[in-house]
Amino acid sequence: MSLTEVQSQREAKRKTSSQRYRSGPVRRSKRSGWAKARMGLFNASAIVLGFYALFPVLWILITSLKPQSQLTTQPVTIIPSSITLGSYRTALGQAPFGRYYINSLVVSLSSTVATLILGTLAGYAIARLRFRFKKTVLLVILAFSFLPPITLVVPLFNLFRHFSLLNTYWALIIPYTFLSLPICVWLMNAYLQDLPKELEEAAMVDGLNYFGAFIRIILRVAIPGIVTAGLIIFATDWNEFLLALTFMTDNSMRTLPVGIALYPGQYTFPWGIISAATVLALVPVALAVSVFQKRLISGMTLGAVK
Amino acid sequence: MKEIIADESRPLPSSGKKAVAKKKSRGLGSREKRFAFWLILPTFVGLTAILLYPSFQTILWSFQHYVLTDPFQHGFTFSNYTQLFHDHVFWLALKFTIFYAVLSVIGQSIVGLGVALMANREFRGRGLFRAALLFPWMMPTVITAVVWRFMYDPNYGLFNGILERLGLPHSFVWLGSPTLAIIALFLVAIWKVNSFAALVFLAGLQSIPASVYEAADVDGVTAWQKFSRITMPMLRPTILVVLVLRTVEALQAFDIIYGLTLGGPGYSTLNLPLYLYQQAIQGLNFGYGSAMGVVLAIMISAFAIFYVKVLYRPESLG
Repeated sequence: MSLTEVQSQREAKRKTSSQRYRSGPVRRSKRSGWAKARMGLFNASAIVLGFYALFPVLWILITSLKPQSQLTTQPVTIIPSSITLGSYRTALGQAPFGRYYINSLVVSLSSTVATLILGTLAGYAIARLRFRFKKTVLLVILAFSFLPPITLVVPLFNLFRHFSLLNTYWALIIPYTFLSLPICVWLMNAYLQDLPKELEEAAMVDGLNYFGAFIRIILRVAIPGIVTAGLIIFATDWNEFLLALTFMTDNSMRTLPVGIALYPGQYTFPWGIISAATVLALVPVALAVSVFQKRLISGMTLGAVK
Repeated sequence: MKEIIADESRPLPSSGKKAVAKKKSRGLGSREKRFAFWLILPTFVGLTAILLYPSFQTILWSFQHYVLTDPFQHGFTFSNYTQLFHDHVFWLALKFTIFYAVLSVIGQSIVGLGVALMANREFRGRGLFRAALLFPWMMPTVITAVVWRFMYDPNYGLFNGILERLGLPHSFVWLGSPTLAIIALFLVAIWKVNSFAALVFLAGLQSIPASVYEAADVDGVTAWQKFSRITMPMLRPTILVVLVLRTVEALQAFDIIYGLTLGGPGYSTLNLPLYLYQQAIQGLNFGYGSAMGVVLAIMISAFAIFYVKVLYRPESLG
């Protein structure tokens, strides 16, 4: 079964159950005020929780738009009287956040693509080709994802120092590619397993060999799965901090999270600029979330519920 | 037609042309295996070189005097471990690592479960609610910590500002005292992760068939009984997964503490990963850092095994 099918089945299940079971409270609300009060309480707490999840993001957005004079008032100005894009201009112009942004994009995109290529190949082999010890192979690959990155920092630091790769994009692209690879293989295996068996057989009748069938047929059908895995991997790479902090010591090579965390002044933070940079850092992932919300949720939870 | 074609590409043991079919199938089968081998090979080579080999190096170095500023010595030694044993900062960090992992995971799971139960019901704006849940998860952890540090700022921060506007005591130095700093850290940790837990729990809740609840309704079961007798037992495997995944990650927490407190004030929020980083990368004592890495890895495995032993019930996995 594909992710979208699972999704639509769940959707259907939810609809029938809502008609029968979950519409209970609404029907009862005609009967008593108590049920009505409970619904009100429920709605109120949903709003509070939603607000709780969003308020730091809102606060950063507000701060990034505040004019300089309202950043350091006491008590703090909650709703600014006017807004300006000045902080964004400074963040991209004077401060090196534009450079950090490019570094982050180069590293995250390259490693995501590399992970997807390797992960799709391996995931395809495990999901659809016949060979022995398949389960063992999958479990061994998955076991790699439990190696704690913090214990890899020291030896990788030494390795990259030895090959003079510190402060180059390779120092992050290489570890990111392989740190995300187990999850990618797992996701692609789960996705490709559910495609109909006849795909390759039909391709071979058309005179294609295994490789041809994979390139011409499977890749095309696998695109939704690849997109889901790609989004999750991109978000992970985009947000990574520990390795980026350790392997990129040169200011011009820093990624966005490191650049924001290390921006001069532990105690007198230029908050307007930092906030603007944070909002900009959130843009790619926020876009992905708003467009692919359902896909992301099903991908994230796939490993956990299966 | 399709079936006949499909059959031709598979072994046909009972067919008349037995020998031919066998040869053909063996050729096909081994070609398939060879193809699979070449597809998986790069993944294995890469994972071994970039993840497995360094892990062995960590174990090896933990038994060597390996300080970057000293000449390298090949000799086998326990000195890193004896030094760890006598290092009181290490013990503080170890205790805090466990304390942080246990309490933050409990907090994240309880809040996450509440949120999931809520999001599992029908209400207007549920899609929006679920999108809001994705925000904390997708925000880079270190940036989350920096943003909260900003909100905790005693002079220009949001929290003291709101307290002052409400006419309440408002001169808290949030990250200045050990107790307040630890509470502040937990608030951030719960905010950051409860939504991930909630989304996984939600997927688990939706896999419980509605018919079970309908049957319970017929039997006149109370809401609390439904929760404790149906929802919780059926959610057990999902809870196990969340606890294991989250604990493994919480034991390695680095970004959040680095961005919020840097281990301070004093050593009150210093955990093992941060201490490892300070000793190995900033202090260039690779051997000592590696020994800490080994301790951390053992702890992570111990926690994972403990959870699985306690919570794993094959019959409930359905």
